[in-house]
Amino acid sequence: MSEPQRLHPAAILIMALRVSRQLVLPLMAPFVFSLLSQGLDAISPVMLFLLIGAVTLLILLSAGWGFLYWQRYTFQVVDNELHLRQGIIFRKQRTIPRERIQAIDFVEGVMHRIFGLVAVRVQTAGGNEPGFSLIGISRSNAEALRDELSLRPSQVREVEGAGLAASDDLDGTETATQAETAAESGLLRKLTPQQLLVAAATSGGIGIALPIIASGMSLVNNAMPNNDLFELATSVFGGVSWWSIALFILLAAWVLSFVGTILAHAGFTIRRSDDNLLIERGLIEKRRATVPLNRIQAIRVIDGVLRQPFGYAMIKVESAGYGEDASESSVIFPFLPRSEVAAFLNEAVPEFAWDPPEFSRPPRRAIRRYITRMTLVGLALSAIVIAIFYPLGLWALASLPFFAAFGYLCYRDAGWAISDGTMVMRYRTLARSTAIIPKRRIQSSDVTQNILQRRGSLGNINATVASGVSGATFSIMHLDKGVADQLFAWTGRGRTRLDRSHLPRQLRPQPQRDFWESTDFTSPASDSGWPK
Amino acid sequence: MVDSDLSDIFHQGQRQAPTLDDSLPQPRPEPSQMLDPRALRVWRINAAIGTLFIWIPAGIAVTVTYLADWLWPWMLLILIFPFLITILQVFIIPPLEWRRWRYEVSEREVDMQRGVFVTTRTLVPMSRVQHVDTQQGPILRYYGLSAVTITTAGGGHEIPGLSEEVASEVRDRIAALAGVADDV
Repeated sequence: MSEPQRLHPAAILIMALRVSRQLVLPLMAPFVFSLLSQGLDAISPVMLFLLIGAVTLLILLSAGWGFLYWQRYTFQVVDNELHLRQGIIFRKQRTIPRERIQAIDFVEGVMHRIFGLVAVRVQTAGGNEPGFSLIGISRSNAEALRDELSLRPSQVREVEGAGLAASDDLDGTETATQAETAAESGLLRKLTPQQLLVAAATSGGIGIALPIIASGMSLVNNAMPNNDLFELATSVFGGVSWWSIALFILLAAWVLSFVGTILAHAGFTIRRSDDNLLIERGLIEKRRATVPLNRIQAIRVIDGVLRQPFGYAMIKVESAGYGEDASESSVIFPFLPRSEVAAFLNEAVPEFAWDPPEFSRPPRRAIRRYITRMTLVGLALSAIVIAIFYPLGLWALASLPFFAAFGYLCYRDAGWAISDGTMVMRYRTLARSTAIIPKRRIQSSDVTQNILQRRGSLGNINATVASGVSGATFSIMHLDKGVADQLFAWTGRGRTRLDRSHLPRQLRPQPQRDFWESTDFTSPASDSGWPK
Repeated sequence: MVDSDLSDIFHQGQRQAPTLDDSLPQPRPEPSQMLDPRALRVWRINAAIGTLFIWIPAGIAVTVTYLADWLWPWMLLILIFPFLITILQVFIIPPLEWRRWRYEVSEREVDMQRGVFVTTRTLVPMSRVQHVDTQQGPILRYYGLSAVTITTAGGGHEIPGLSEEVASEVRDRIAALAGVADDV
């Protein structure tokens, strides 16, 4: 790719549609408004003339903008750097070194499918602009670009050295088709349609959908004075009552989260190609994401509230500089039997493959803290409910024992395990999370203790890793303060000096050896700060 | 899980002695360095400025009560709240905070301790430091002080209130050590 390239010409159309989507509301609002307020009387020759003018303006503006955008936008790879020139009014030139690129996604919208294109989204680390997008180039070009940008010399070496099956026909350089073959063979898991249905039925999205549905209902209800919704609720459940409406909202929220999960996770496929995880998912909008293994900072195994009883978990990654819609992109597999998690991690992200046989837990005197905390949360929520629905809302207080029991559950699930330079932290917020954090990925750690904890000699331990634009912090509450201090001390000792994550586990140095190896600083260590 | 007696859950009368886990390293000793004594004065000035946000509304409220009609018990009640806050923020908390604040820059990490109501101990490995700056606002500058801020990919950390010389020494030391440890 020695000379500057333009996007595919269809990008003009894509950009034009994007611009028109933004313009259509301000341009058309007056017409819609006058139609709504005056009915059909509003239609007059003058108005039709204005309407035609507005539509013409819309088309001209968006087509012109789309064309100029396409004309000004060029990209080029020179000496491992991606050079961009863009901008219609404000011209901009950007140079992105290959090392700064965190991940490359291929996004396929409906328009892209028609023309056989993809949008290439490049995620970069840090800075105010977390990434940028080439809005439409042909798939083969995109793959060439991906290969040109994401193959680092170390990765090529790894392919040869590790003796993977796919490396036999590789000579250090890789063409797009060969990379594709390697990706095909590196298939790790695919979500079957049955699993997708169960996953959608048990997804935690209901918690997000619930307030949306509830507020939507009240909006629609206000707009339609003759209580159509109540009638609908009546016909479904027979008899209008608070219970039937609540049940209706719950059902609607469940359906919404069900459909949402199907759309997002249909055909979820994860492959491993060399040092990248390739993720493909989506029903209408196909999304492809490439996550470089060496950018992964921590793994989270999430046992959702509805999934834990069935023994299924979701696997997420915390990846540095993986901005924008981090919460969705960071799922590397949505629905996996708990018993297969260790094997899956071993294949997909060997650096994080550790399933501790048992966890050390907070002391029993911490139970009171956990229970009190959740009960207070329950009280606060009850207070809100009571304030809104006064006499009936008092029933909310009946939920307090459940909050207390949930507090105990949080205590029971909290724990940690340490081995081989890796810390595993398990805690429950709503779902139970198990975070697997290599020591060398920890950006900072804290021990905290508040006044109440001081009395019981308890303390929290936090570990922060790089994730997205800022970091992600994991914490376990109410550990014995002495143990928390020890964990804190552990995060600071004997860290790996060189990145050895690409080596098989046996070849990685043991923590003790590593500690001595890494003392080759220019000035000899004479540090009183460390305990022995 | 509730196997034996529940008494220890609710028995928190005396301070519990911390127990240690043999598989882990010993706890780190407290960081050795303290902040510059002048930092205390700066904190007090900052806190005093901060209390204006309570004194100004209180002043307005008092003026209103005065204009409306002279009800001195109400005025006392209105004034007692900002008065207590001021005592707490300006006279009680800063010395406690200053006494708690410790830091230490060793070859491998920066160790910090702070906090009155919630004590926090933070460890930042040298190899994770992206950049380190010193900065000073007008009040810090007046007292010849400077703050050191350490940035990692996981967020920022600050050692407030060191004398200018110490601050630049700390900054240069961290920068040098972070450069040596920078490998990933």
